[in-house]
Amino acid sequence: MSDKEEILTEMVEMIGAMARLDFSRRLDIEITNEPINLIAFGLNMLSEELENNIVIRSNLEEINSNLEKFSYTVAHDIKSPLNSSKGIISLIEDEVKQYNNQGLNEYIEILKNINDRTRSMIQGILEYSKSNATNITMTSIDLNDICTKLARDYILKKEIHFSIEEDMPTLVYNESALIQILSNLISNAIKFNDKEICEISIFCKERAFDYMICVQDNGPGIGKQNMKFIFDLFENLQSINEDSTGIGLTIVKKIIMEMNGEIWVESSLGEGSKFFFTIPKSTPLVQEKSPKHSHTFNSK
Amino acid sequence: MKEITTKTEHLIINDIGIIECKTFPNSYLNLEDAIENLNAVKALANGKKVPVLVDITETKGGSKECRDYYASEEAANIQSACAMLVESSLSRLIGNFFLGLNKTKFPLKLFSDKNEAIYWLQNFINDER
Repeated sequence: MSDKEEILTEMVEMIGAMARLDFSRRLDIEITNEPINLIAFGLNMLSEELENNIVIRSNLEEINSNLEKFSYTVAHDIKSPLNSSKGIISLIEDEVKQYNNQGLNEYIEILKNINDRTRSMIQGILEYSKSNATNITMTSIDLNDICTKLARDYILKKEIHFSIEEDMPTLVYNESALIQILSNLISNAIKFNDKEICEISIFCKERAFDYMICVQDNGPGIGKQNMKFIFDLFENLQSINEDSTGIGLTIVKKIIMEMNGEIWVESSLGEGSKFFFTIPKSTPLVQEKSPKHSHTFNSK
Repeated sequence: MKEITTKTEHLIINDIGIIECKTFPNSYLNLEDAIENLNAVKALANGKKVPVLVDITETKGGSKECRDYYASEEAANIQSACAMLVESSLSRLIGNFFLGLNKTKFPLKLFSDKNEAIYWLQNFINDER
């Protein structure tokens, strides 16, 4: 096969690949004004540009799909308390017409609760939409220092046993984002804990490309059914109550993902939960310490 | 400063305030080259937005990152318009990418005649920041 025939065969294969939306191929050619080389050069450039456009399009499709799902869920979930309010208002109307004030206090209390829940839901949606990793400032953070400070805040309020690994690394990350992540994980561990003493451990493991931080608790654990939904905004809007906007974990996941990390949970019912998240090493490590020990904090 | 030579091109500001750039024969530009060249335009123009004539008749093209940079907002903050001088099929092919897939955020036109290019660029001389 001559050189020209060989490059023509490669071109046909490349066009076939492009038709299958595989834009990874490039033709190895010399850039000259020879028509066959020009076509190959043009194909290479086209492939590069289309590859980029396909990625952008697929990201947009994902955003659109999430937006549709989000709008539907928000509309549905806001409609639900409004419907409940309408029912309660009808009951109040009936009582007022009949000069019967027996149930009024109860109805007003229910209305207040519905109102609070709706406000919390809207607050949660606002927080979610505001939480993004743009314009973030990266600083050097001593992981031990930040965990210790957070632990001290919590042990003043409740009976909690904190175990924080000593000599965790100093990382470069956005400080308020890290505080938000850890606070959410810690407060969830406390909020849902069903034991006499709430036990929380925090440790960090260095891996090849990232640092893996774990917040472990001795709470009731999470059933397999719920595990896949706990980071999902659309599911969590259902669980909003007066104390919580219900979407803390969704926000935590969004922050971590936007900073190129990951979050996951290991848990089984009755055996507590371990929430893991990662900080990529491309966010450079400033200082590292060794060896590993741990120290504990006890409240009361 | 009236002229600058970078790794991949020679730039000169002419009497009417148009910057004329000529890429070196057989040069293939990477992102670093694009940044260096646009910084040179900026330096010659004293920070003003200027019309630029780019002669790519002898270039061998540029990487995707280089093309993206020339089509970026940053480039639009430096150049008010660009006339691309193309002659060979290869340079015309490269130029066509800047009209579509790598569309610039400032007016760009392909020319095969330098005088016509300069004439067109004169429309953008007063388009300062």
